[in-house]
Amino acid sequence: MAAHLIPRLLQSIAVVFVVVSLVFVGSRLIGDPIQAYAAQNATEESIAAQRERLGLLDPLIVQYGNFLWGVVRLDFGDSIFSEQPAWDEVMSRLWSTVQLSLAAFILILAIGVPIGVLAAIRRGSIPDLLARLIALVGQAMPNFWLGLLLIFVFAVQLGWLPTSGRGGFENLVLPAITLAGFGAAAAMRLTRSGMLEVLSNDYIRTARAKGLAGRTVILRHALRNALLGLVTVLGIMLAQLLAGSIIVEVVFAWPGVGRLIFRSISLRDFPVIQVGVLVIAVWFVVINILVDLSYNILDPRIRVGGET
Amino acid sequence: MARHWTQLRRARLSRRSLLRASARAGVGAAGLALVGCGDDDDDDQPQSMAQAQQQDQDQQQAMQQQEQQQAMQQQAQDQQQAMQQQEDQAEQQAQQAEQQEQTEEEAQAQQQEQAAAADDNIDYTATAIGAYGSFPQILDQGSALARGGQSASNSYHYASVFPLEPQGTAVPGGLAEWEFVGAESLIVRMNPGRVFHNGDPVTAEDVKFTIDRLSNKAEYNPDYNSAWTGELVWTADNELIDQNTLRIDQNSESASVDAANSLATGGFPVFPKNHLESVGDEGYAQFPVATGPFKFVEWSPDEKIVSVRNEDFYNGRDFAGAPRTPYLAGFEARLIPEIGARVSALEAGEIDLANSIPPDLAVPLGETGDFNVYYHPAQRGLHIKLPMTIDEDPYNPGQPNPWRDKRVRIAANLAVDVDAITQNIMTGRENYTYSLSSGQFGFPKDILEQRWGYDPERAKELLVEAGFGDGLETDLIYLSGLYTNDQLFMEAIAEMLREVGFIVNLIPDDISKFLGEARNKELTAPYLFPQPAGFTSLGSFAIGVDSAATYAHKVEVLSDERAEVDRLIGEARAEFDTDKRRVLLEDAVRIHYLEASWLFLFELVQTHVGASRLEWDPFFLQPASVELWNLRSVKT
Repeated sequence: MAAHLIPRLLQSIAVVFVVVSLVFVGSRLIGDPIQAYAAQNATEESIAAQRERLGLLDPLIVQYGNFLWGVVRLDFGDSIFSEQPAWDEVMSRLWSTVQLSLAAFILILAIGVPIGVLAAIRRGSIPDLLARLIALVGQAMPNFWLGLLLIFVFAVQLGWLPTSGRGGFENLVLPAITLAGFGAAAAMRLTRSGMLEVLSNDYIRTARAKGLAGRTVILRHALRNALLGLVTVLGIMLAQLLAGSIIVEVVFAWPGVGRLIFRSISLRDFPVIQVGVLVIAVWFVVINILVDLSYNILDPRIRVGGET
Repeated sequence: MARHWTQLRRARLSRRSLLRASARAGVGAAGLALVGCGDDDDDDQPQSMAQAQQQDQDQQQAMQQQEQQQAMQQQAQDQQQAMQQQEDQAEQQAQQAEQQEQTEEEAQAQQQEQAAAADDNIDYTATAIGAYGSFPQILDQGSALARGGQSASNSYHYASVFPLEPQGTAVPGGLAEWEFVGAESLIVRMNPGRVFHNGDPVTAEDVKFTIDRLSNKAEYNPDYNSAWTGELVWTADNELIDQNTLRIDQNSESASVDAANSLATGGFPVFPKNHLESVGDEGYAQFPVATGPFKFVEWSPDEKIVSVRNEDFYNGRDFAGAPRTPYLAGFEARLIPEIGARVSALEAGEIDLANSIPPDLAVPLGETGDFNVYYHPAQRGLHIKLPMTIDEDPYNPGQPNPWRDKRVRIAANLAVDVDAITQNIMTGRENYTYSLSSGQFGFPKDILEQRWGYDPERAKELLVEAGFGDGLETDLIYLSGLYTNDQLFMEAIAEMLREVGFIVNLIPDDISKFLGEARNKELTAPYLFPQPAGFTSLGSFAIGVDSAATYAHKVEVLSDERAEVDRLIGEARAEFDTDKRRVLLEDAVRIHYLEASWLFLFELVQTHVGASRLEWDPFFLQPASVELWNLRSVKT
């Protein structure tokens, strides 16, 4: 296990290093942050003083060296705009985004997987047709549009839920559904196709021939094997939910990391962009490692070291 | 309120007394003149031939005297009549004055009743929630970081040293009074009883500290990143005379047209020296203590800013200037970046005010009768800067830049039907700009009659005359998605230019990239520029009009006329006589316009939507946004 995990961790560190380095270079290419906030009639002296204060007059290689040294010490400097530590800026909003992502992920599992299974075992029936239609619409509809539609129906017309903002559980419902929309549709289709493939295998026929209950055949023998392919996709989905919540956070005025990064990019707030991307990169890596580990649980044939 | 009306009553009484007194004085003067004319003393004479002659003479004299007496009597009668007439007139005038005063009193009483009725109808305990598309990054209005990008502002926590009247001119009665000493120094005297939100008195030392801090010269932190250095270039030095008096010396090379106005500009903050030095810049940026009409209570970055009415605010609701004591007891600003979500929150009753809503969404909401739509001119005048100071044509190296030819520039102005664009694409309320702003702000009036109209045929002729009968290729750069319908109106402008012979390549750009390139004078093509016109005085026109402006094309060649504009503005900057300075600037602006230096467009109009209970009539001609201190919640 350790022999498998250690190379994976080293590989992951290398991935994170490459990502943050690319972000460092990329953020320097998109423009000068001073131009984004300098007053229109600011004097040249004050502009030069700000560039010096932020270390933007140093050669790029020196800036990069300082940045890497900061990464090692988890010191990313202060946000150019809020003048608060960039790390704190991101961390103060991380829980909001994690909360939203987890809620959406639970919805994906709760909606996508059962309906996918139902559609597979009732292949060709009206529920199957309906499930496929819903999946098609869910994947075709942009989530910002779905969000506005949900707001209009459930907040404005029916008045059941708030339109935006972060507060109690009721504030979480609409953004979570919006964020889960695409993923639930994808999970539904993957589960259905995976189940259909598994259900056509000989061992399922054998299990049924042995007289096992239909529920047991579906849940214990078919679903477990169908999920193996789904787990990888769900893992990537969970990672993407964190990174891809920007639009949903904007539509629902949800104060999360996605919106912070989006704003920081438009303002060229380098330190915050770097921390935000680092957090997302680490999140992706961790999820991937967990997905790898989950294979061992889901499929006993897969053993560390390739045992079968 | 009661004291105010008492004062008015006193004013009316004294005016009436004055009129009566002057009438009586007039009658008295006429009487005195009449008495002064009556020299009729007679002496006795002896009887003889001589006496007879004397008698004849006497008779003649008597007759003469009689005639004289008759004449005098007639004169006296005339004078008496005149005096009577004067008395009558005076009485009539007094009666008329009294009637007029009675009418005025009735009108005032009626207004007072209406105002009282309106006041009775206002709910002074009401609060409101307003949503904005952007938020300040920090709450320190002095820092450039708080004003970065297109962020909304928390300027309602602040009040300037001097208040402003609707056109943007400083008025007395705010934190301090001012007086010019020799034209080159400004004396600021603090008014008593003014306090910061934390209860500390506002002193001249605080104002000095503010100016030093905003000029990046404060001792506690010379590296402070002020947003106001440009506005304070006119200050050379300042000296604290005593705790209530400060002298500010103007910079002889860059004096201010309106020094007092610079300290009165909306949002110009005044900082509490002791408090700020104890909490530091970072602490202050998170929890501002100032003098504004609203007190800061709580801030959740990216979520909300909660404020309450400053009950100690010194400008009452009937004060001549602004800001004044708010009607609302509290205000919560919420960040809802997406426009559709802001409108939905308003419709759902979660918020009371949705800021910056495009007209196509705002107008239908207003038509429902459930919401009020507020319009006001934005502090941004749009124009297209033409590269008339760049030597070579970027499309034909070695050839002179066509925009140096005045005929080409006039053709561009004649080609674009600005009114059609504002009527059909914008709100229809936008005003044409003659410089950085429309003609309503102290602009030289004679230019208003010389506006470049819409004349595409003449535009075509001018292009042919200039040697571009086969077309003139040009890029046209604009910031995409920054302003309502910007893509639409820029496409319309490009199409109108194409119709007269310009071959236009319309290029949308990103704001930060664009600002960097424009500031560094790297752009060679015409570009749309939304110049802030926050200062409403004529002096503001100088900013951006001169060739050395921050956002202008690179200067490689200057026409005689452009050189004259620069000379006039330079001369105006060093001129301390306000009238002379105004004439110089008017001359500069006139040449700037008549030379068709830019393609002149229009002032943007901002649209906001409020719940039906919220009423707002703009106080300023050009407010930055909805004036929260002036927002009233009526009882329903």
